[in-house]
Amino acid sequence: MIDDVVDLAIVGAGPAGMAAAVTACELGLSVAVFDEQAAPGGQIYRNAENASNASRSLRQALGPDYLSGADQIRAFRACGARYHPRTRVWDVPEEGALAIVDDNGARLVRTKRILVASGAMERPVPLPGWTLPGVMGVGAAQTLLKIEGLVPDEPYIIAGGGPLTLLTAVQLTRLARPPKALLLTERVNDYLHAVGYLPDALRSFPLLTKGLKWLRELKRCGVPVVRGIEDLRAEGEARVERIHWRRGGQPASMDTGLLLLHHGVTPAFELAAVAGCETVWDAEQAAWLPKADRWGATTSGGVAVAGDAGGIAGAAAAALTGSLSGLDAACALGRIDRTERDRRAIPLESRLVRERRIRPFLDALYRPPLDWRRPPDDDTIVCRCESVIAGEIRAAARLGCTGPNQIKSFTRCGMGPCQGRMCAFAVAELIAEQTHADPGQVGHHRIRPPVKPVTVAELASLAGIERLAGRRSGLLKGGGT
Amino acid sequence: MMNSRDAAYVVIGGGLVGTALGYGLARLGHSVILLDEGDRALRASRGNFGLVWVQGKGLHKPEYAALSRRSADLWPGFAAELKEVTGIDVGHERRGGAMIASSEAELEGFVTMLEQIRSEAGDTPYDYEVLDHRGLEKLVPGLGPQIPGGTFSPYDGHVDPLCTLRALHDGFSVRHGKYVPNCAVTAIHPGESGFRLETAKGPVMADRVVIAAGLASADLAPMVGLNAPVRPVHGQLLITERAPRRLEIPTNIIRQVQNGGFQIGLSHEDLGFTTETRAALMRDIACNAVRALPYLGDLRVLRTWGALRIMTPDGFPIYAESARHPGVYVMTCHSGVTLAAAHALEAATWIAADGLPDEARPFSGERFDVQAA
Amino acid sequence: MFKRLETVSQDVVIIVNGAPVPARKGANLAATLLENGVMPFRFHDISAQPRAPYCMIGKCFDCLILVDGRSNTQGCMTAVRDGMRVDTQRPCKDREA
Repeated sequence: MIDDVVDLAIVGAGPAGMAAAVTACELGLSVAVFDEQAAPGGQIYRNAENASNASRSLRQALGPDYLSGADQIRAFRACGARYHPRTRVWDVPEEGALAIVDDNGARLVRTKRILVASGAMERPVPLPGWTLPGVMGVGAAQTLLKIEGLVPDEPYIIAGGGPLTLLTAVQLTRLARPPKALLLTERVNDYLHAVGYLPDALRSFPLLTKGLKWLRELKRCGVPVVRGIEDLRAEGEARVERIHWRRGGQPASMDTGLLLLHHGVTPAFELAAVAGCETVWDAEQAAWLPKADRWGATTSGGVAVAGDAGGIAGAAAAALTGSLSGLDAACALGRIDRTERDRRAIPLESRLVRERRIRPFLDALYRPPLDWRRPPDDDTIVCRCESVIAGEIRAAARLGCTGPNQIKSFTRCGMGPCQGRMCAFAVAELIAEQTHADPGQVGHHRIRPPVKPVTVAELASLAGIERLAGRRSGLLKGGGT
Repeated sequence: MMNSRDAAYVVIGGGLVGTALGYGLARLGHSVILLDEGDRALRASRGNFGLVWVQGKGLHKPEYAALSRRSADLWPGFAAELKEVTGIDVGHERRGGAMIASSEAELEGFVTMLEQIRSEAGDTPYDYEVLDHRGLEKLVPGLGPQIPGGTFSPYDGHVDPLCTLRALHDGFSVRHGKYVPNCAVTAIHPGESGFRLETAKGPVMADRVVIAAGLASADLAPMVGLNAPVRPVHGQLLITERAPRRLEIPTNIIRQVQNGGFQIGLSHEDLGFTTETRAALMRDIACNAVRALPYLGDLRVLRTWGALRIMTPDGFPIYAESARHPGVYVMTCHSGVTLAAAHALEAATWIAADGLPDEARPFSGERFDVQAA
Repeated sequence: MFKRLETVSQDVVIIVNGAPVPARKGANLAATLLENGVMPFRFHDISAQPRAPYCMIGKCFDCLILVDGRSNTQGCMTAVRDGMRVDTQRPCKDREA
């Protein structure tokens, strides 16, 4: 039970959260880590702790990067941080406080510093029929593989763009069966656009050659790899049965009961937002990130961000930014001085530069095409929770709704359980389309607590309020709702 | 884009008050421009509870009690009109409403207040029922055992406030009103025949101006010799996930909205919001909710919602026309939902007439020295 | 739709739409249901359209299902327990209060 004021409260136990905990503990900080999962590893290393029990073929398919997660988890478990699994953090009600809920109920935790290391989620890709059962994210298939060793037992298709499409195709090919097809949106234009970043990318040569090797492996297995696809749509009654697309103007289709979609991952910044952190639109990543400095410090006092939650850069970079934020926390709390912090940061930052080098190339090459960001078909569901279609959002934007909050008021888009996670991008893009702005100017809807499910009864018995400083919450800064 | 006399009327403020007035004026056949701020503006209308409420209104101000009652009576026809004009069903229901008392003392307070309002109403009927626990539970099934009782008024109802705002916007458009968002007004200059407004999108000229800008009215009103001493009073709402319908009538603290979620909130008078932290507010609201309706405990809270009331010093509306510059009005209230029908169907005619009629006089704001020196 | 690569000891039984299904204690409920071909998880509250897991990490809220009588339970964030009752969730207006 957390009753004392902890030095550093970390949200998330993926590579960033774990590295931050290890670094902070090494420097003498008291650390608490809150994780909604049952075991450390986040999503990328999910269940990596148990990987040694898996068969050799599964371990081989999951790969050395994933397996190395087990070492990180071991180090984390031994570092002295208090680990709170199956705990959801749903609000940052004031500086130095976290609102959490677990099987024992909801309570407030006091802390001197907060690190949001809540990772990322797959970019939602609103296409016609994407809500049909049997249409899932490629990441979902990865999760099923990691946590339960589940693989498709029927023909499946992978569609979209980004390295995870290739990786998943190869893994499932080795473990179960090759995909019926690999449909990629990338076109010559994307390569041309990315080529400017190639010199940097080439210095990450091993990564690039890995991708090419995977493609060759898939081709050898007879997987049709189709590039430049457009107008992808899924159809079916009780579940997906068939998909259609176009390529070079020519229509094509294929039967399938399982469609795995992917077009990159985006930061899960909700908690940072309710903590009052300013967010910015990153045009390269086509995503919102919390505004942060080199240490991950955000615009909100005492709140830092690390890992993919602060910008997508992968697991290795996540561990580095986690360590950097641990150093900064230790410095802020007087355990080390600035010189010492900066000295320790040098090797981390130089490795970080190397890890980040390939990002602009990947971001440019795998940028989701316009029709995957802005559904052309008005009947496409944009808000999955409330079943609001693109046409309704376009109509509201034409009526004069200039931003996502008004769209929400007028269409209910964003009012369901996911609270806008699945629709925020499409809403910004559709408003941008109708108002000739860009999504960064349009912005995202106002994110309000609770950012994780908590019941009325749990709220009613919220414990620990008396331990708060009682500062005014600043609730209505910049907006009434 | 904007040149000499852009419209007969400019309404400043695209919330429930401004849009209802704009709709009402357009409905009368006038040319109307509705100027609104941007997406992130302090929008009281987004945080509204949605009650069309008569019970308890107008203590010591029988004209306000009567106005609320009149508006509630106009609402069914108004909702039907909006449906016909825009196709949007704003979900208006009028089956009465209940006030749930959390303690005997609170119940006594309700009764005293209602008795007083009734006596101030004179000959006009003012019906309500005082209910004990059993009586209230018939109306509010699943009522918590600690609740002593409450009061019921047949005049009360509720509506979806966001749908209403949407329908008003649509209706305004259908009636040829011109809506201009992202167009904050920075100054109003009275001229020889009409007014010139400075806005974020350039000057706008109109014969008459209606200031219905919520909190911003306080700054704009003095420019034309009016005073609108409004201040923000914050409140919190919790919205829960959808649940099967259990609560058929709205109450003062909880109502089940059209889509099935429960909206839970408390009036600012009860909690002294301005000094509480967010966490304490949420806990207190949740606590009261579970006390009133224990079955709410299992429902997940999707979101907390900041409600903003635009409060005048006495809580009653200000409907005033500038004496120094006739043709410019300030219209503000905190019950934008209840009064939407009266605003659209009645108050609009006041503005369109030559000088505000007698019915508007009690709200003229002379009570605050509304006319600046 | 999905199958296990390796057999695991199924030490508990859950009741899915009235029928007993062997499962592993502590397993991910959504994964267990997918493995057993349970599709869809629910019919959407508003559109009544069939829905099933999409993201599997608790963000999409489409894997909502009735667990031990509790609606809107995220299957992908729930661990299997012995005797757990799981039922396809019907649209809100068709559910009992």
